[in-house]
Amino acid sequence: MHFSNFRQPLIKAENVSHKYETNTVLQNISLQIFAKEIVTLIGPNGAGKSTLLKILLGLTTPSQGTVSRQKNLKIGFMPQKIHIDPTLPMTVERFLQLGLPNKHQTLFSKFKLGSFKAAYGNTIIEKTTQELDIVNLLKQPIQKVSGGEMQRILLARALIREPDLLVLDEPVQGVDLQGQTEIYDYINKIRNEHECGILMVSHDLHIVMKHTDEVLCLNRHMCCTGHPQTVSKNSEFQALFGDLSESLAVYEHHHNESCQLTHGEASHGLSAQNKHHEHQINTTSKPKGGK
Amino acid sequence: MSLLSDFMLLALLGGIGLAVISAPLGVFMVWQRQSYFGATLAHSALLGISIGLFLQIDLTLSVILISMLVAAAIFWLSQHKQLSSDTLLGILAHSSLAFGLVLISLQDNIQIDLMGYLFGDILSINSIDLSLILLTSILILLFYFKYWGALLNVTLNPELAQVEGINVKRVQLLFVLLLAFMIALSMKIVGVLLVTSLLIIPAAAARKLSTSPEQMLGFSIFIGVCSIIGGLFTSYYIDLPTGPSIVVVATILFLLLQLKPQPNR
Ligand SMILES: Nc1ncnc2c1ncn2[C@@H]1O[C@H](COP(=O)(O)OP(=O)(O)O)[C@@H](O)[C@H]1O
Ligand SMILES: [Mg+2]
Repeated sequence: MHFSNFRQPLIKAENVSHKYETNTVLQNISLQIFAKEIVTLIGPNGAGKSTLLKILLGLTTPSQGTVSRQKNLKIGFMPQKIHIDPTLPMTVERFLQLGLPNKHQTLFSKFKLGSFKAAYGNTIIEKTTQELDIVNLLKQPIQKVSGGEMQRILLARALIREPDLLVLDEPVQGVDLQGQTEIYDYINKIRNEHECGILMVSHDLHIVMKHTDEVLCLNRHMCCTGHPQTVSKNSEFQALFGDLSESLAVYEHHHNESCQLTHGEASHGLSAQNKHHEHQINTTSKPKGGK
Repeated sequence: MSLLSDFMLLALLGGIGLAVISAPLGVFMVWQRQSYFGATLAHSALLGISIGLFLQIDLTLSVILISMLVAAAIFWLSQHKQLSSDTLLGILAHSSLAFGLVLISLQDNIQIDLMGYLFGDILSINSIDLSLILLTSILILLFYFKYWGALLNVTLNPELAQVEGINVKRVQLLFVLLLAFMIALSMKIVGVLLVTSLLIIPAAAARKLSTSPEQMLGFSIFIGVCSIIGGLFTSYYIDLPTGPSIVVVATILFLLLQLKPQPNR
């Protein structure tokens, strides 16, 4: 089914089902994520997307089914939302430093200046924050940043671990449209540079499709999976992207079962009776602006 | 040193020691919105006393054991039950206090000294108490040496911390047990009210002065120590009850600092 099946998946779920009390949230979900692959999970609110991520991350034990992760898999995670108590004095910079994969963040490690690890960590933070355009936020208290800025900070924190697998729960929530395009482009760049696998939850097909290798439509069960036509087409698309103020993304996918509800929200109520069809999506993205 | 009598010197040393070990626990209680947790543990200490009297075992030992048991119970319940921790702590605080009082009243010839329970007697600190405080401070130092960053990450977001490879349950349980141990130990020396006050008030007061967690820890120690010194000397010279004087000084410092604007740009 997928040409990369002969490779080892980074993470693999088999026949996962989950109930909260008596509320069945996920039914018989199987999926695999490979290195260098972007998998996008779409579905309406309450579809179980966040729950599925938590199960994959090992935060929640599924009622049924198994999840297997590659040995020593380094995961960068961006939660859907994070609340930081205002009584905790913390700058954005410190928040990012705490995300470094430093095994010994003791009370005293702050004072071991000039150590290689600290210098290396700060270089990564510097680079990542520059690329995400949040350098100006570093000295600010983390409770004071806006929703869209917080998303970039959380993404930066996930990235500075140099993960093998990035798991992003609605990464562009609260980000303006141009920012969304920038973030998705950046995520794509990360995938190519770090060769990590990426699993993300998204609501907006429009922008995200360009870089996605596989789409999973979830509505408590996996109602359809698909992928944009070919990788080459995808990269062609990347080249075009930014020059067109209005472009058409065409992708193809397969339906297992009725998918109306999902698509009702995600792509303007296209009826999904046909087993095999094409979606036409108007990308509303603007040309990529200067930094 | 003619200014200081022996008991004043011991009280000063013990009080300063307590202020110093309260700070690292107190700041996390404030950050994690767990200030009620301390009160619950302090109340469960009374249950510890009554069980100790009932079984005729060493009171310090029974208080420590019961407090740590209650702490573990709170930890377990908060992991497995849907009740908010607020409600849970409320139930445990008052039920353990009630059980303690009932158990005590079942025994003849025992009266509890309410003032002593609330405020202890810091002026009666002896060298054994001092060495226990020293022991606790070593435990706390070891814990934070290893887990400071981990506990900060757990405080920020437990799920993120777990994904990033921190053993969240272990860190939380160790913290809670350490807190229970510290409260149980200092309960006997300075009483319920002073323990919980020393944990919470200096940490809360320090918030206004701090831009980093470590700074807040530092200021919290400083404010705690000032409260102890201020309280002890006022009570010594004006003849006021010592425990309450310390709490009053801490509260005044807290209120004064509220006048200051936040140090954030
Ligand atoms: N911890 C929980 N306990 C009980 N029910 C939950 C919990 N988390 C999520 N749910 C329920 O599970 C369903 C799926 O939630 P979620 O996975 O967050 O959906 P999505 O992320 O797709 O919006 C929702 O109906 C939600 O109410
Ligand atoms: Mg969600």
